[in-house]
Amino acid sequence: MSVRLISLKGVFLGLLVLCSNVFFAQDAQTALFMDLAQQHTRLNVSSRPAAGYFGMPLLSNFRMELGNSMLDPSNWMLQAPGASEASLNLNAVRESLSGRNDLSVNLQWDWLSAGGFSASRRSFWSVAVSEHIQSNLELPEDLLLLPFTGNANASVSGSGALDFTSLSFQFSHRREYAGTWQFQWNEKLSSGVRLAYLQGLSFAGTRDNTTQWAVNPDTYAWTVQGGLGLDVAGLPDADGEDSIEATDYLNAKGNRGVAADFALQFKPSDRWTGFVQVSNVGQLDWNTRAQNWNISDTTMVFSGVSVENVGSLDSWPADSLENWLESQSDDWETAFEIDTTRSGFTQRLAPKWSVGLSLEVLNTSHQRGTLGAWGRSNGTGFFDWRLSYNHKFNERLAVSLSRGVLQSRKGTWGLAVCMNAGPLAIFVATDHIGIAQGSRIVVDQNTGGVGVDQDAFVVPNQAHTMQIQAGLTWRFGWRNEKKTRSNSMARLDDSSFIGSSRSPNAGHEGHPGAVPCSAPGSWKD
Amino acid sequence: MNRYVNQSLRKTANRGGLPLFFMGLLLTSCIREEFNLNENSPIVGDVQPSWAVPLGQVHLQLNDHWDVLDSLQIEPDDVDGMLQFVQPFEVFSSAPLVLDPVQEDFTFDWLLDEAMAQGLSSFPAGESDSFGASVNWSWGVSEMSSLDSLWLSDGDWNAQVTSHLPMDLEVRISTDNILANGAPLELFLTLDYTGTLPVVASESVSLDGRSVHFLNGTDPRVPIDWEVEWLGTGEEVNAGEALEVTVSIADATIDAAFGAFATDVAWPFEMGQSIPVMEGFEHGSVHFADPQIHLWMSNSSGIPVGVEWEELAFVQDGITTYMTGPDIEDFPIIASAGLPGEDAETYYVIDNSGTTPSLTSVMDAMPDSMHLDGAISINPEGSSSHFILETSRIALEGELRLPMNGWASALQWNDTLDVDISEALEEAVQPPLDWQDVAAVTMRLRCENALPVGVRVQAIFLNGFGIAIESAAVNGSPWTAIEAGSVSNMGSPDAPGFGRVLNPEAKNIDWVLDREMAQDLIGQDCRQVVVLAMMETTDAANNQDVRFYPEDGLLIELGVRVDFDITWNP
Repeated sequence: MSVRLISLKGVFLGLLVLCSNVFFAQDAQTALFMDLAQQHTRLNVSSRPAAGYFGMPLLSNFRMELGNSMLDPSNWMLQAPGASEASLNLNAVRESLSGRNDLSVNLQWDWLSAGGFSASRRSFWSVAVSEHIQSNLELPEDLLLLPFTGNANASVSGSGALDFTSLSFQFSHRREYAGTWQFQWNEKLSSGVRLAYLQGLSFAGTRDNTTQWAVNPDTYAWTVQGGLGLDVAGLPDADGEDSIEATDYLNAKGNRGVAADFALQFKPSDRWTGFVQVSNVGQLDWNTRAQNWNISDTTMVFSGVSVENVGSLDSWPADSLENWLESQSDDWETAFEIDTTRSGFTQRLAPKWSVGLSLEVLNTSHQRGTLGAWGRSNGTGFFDWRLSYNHKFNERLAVSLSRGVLQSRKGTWGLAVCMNAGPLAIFVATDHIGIAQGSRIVVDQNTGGVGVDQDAFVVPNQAHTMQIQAGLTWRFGWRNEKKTRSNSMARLDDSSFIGSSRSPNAGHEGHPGAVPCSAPGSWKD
Repeated sequence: MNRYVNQSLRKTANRGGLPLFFMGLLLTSCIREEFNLNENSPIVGDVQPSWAVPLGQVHLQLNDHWDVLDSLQIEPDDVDGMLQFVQPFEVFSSAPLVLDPVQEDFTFDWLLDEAMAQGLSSFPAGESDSFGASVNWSWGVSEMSSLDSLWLSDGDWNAQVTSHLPMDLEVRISTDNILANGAPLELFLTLDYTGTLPVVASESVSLDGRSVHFLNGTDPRVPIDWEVEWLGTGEEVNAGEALEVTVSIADATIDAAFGAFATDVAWPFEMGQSIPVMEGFEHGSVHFADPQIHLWMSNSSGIPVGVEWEELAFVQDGITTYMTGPDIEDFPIIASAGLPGEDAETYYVIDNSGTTPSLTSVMDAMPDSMHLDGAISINPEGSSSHFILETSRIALEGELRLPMNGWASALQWNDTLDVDISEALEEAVQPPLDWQDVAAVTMRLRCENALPVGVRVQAIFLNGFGIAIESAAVNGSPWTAIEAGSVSNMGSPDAPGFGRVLNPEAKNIDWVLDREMAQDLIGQDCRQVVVLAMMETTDAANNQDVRFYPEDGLLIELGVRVDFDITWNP
């Protein structure tokens, strides 16, 4: 058959645009063991940065991430060298749609952040005000592959039912007021706790999706089970309210919650360090402009026309089939009727636990190198992991290179750089090195005899996860650092090992030569 | 501080070549390839989706369709509810005897001898005297050997007196054996002498509702009493003159007769009954394991009635098979009613056990009619104390029952449908798809069959010249559309439940129209389809008897699945 692409072009290009222009925020895991950058502490709240800091408003920490396991346009097309046009490879489309399919977009930035050591240097305190915008759309594999499999493909029959339960959407916008306390109990054990007050601005999300479509392998009868809820808060009312004043939106008062992270770090020897963390424990109650739509979990069976009395067939009027279809439609409409309420609801955060381990493999008078391993689970099957090598060239420059997997997607290489320019600590990290490698798609549109318009799009080649984190902070202690730079490398053992939980002068309290306040990161700087 | 920052930035930049390189790698855009799309950009690849849609279900349970079964004269039996074909018939229904109305008369006279004439002649004028006597009136009913009594309706009892005596007479005629509500019947006649002889007088009385009670049943007679009272005139009375009395019963209908009936009364009957259920079946295609003839005989008279069979036969295409055997030869006597108003029932069954040849073997020949000839004999055993009423009836009616217990095979139905299959198939798949993109269309029939009968179907596709193109069959055999249910073989064939479907047989049956067949039908201009359907009971080839019950049913679920195999090439 010879179907041309034009009929699919609109949808296709729309998806390309979507995946080419949205980003998702998540702390770069590559920088987890990079203590030179204060931004690493979110992934391990028991780890303290090398120095106190003051985050540049709006610039101290900016994180974006796009998670995309659904759209991979650069791999869907084929264009032979010298050919004038590309073709859409359906086999590649089908392959890429197998498995998890989601688009997740997250954006996060800190309005304000600061941190510093206590006088005893056993505690490190930090505060941050940050904005979080998160969205996620997941489309079921069985739904996306439906044109390829149909409802009765052997692979479908084998699985029992077309499973649409993973169909979900969630958007949330919240502000966090967080404080973190890290405490060193002794040379081997330290802990951290991060508490945040959450102010919700808007939310829209599905819940309780039980949708499945089963085809009886014997009779082909359809059994459709369906239940789905949608909760919305903070957004314009569905009953005619067109918009919300920006000030009202940004100062929404009714949506409150708390969140907490807890971590313990243990350093059994000078070279080994390990930690365990539970994060994202808490909930957020949404009450402002709350709206709910709910379809109760219902099962309906469609078996076609049912004839109980064969003899009645002769007396069926001509419009019987039409009436029957209308009746069926009414039955299904009633069964899956949408119930609307206006009740506040609670968004439970998704707690995650993680573990990390680092091993110092290089320690010279000038440089230090560590190997790091980290893993995280949300308890529902995802397991993020990353292995990294972290190299600290001196007190001004550190680099990390990593390889890992996020949300069970394809593995990616990561890179993080943190360097000091005087008091300014510049931090850039990504868990996806190939972020900037892309393909250019040029679409010719016939304008009806007048000519041809061209629309060009650049899409990433490796679109599974695109993520970047960057920040600019004012680092305390840079003057003392300059003075003691000649001795700094000699103090590396004591001041700033990779992923250290120890303060720069840890172990030197009580020693005659101890100069805790002169170490980088002191509030007194 | 600015100076120091600037210095630091410069030094960092100098020492930071490596990080700047990494940052450049990180952030620099790199377009590795370019794709050009336009309206005509092709799609390549292949997909094999399969779509299944349920079309409908039919639930057929026999006891939900009594209207249909009734029209087919099928009903459950009284024992265990097994379905049976019932062909009712009536052999006769009439009075056992028709008694004619009574037409009887009796005359007697009072003849004067010399002495009596002299006495009357010398009787003083103006004086009166009387004389009475009794006579027996003998009469009866010819069909009765002994008559006890009759109940009459209509008709009259008449009396006429003719007097040759020259005097006034008063005559009273009565009998205590003809009663009306317990009162005897009597008549008074007055004869006034006016100088002219003879003097005649008559009277009558209705017999409606009167009963006649006879003396000496074997020689029935009714005593008549008569009495004459005369008034002397002084005229001479000659010897030899007489007074004649005639009594009669005219047109008296017998409502009931009590006594004993003769044994030599008989009358014939003849009945023919078609058996339409056998029409259309070929010899040997249907086997009824236990056919029966059920007979009900009712008798509201007090007379036993015998049936003497002349012929009990079945006819098929002009060939008559006569039935004999103990069930026919030892036919029972139709019992008599015990009392007037009662109805005696006699029930009798003729089946395989008492017939030669057996009913089954006769039914296997698919007879088209049944004939019953014979005679009715009254009081065949010569007993006494009978009665018959004017309303008495004897009736013999029956049913030919063919329990749906047996087997059937090769019951065929066929039809030729004028359908432009080629055009229909072409229109069934619309562009951009064509039949090259369809791997197969599967019609799925899932049957849960609790009926001990299955159906096989064969479709033969013909082109415009009537030549067969394709056949929808499996290895040349008809396509099994409905598999017969499995039946019980426990016990003997006569045992209850033998041949009954144990559990519904659930099977999926697919008819597959694949791409090659569809393209063949399109290419060869298919215009007609011959549909041949064959029904067969469970394991009919081995003469397995099966039984049908109202609870038996069939659930058919029909669905269609289309398997696509679409390949896009540039």
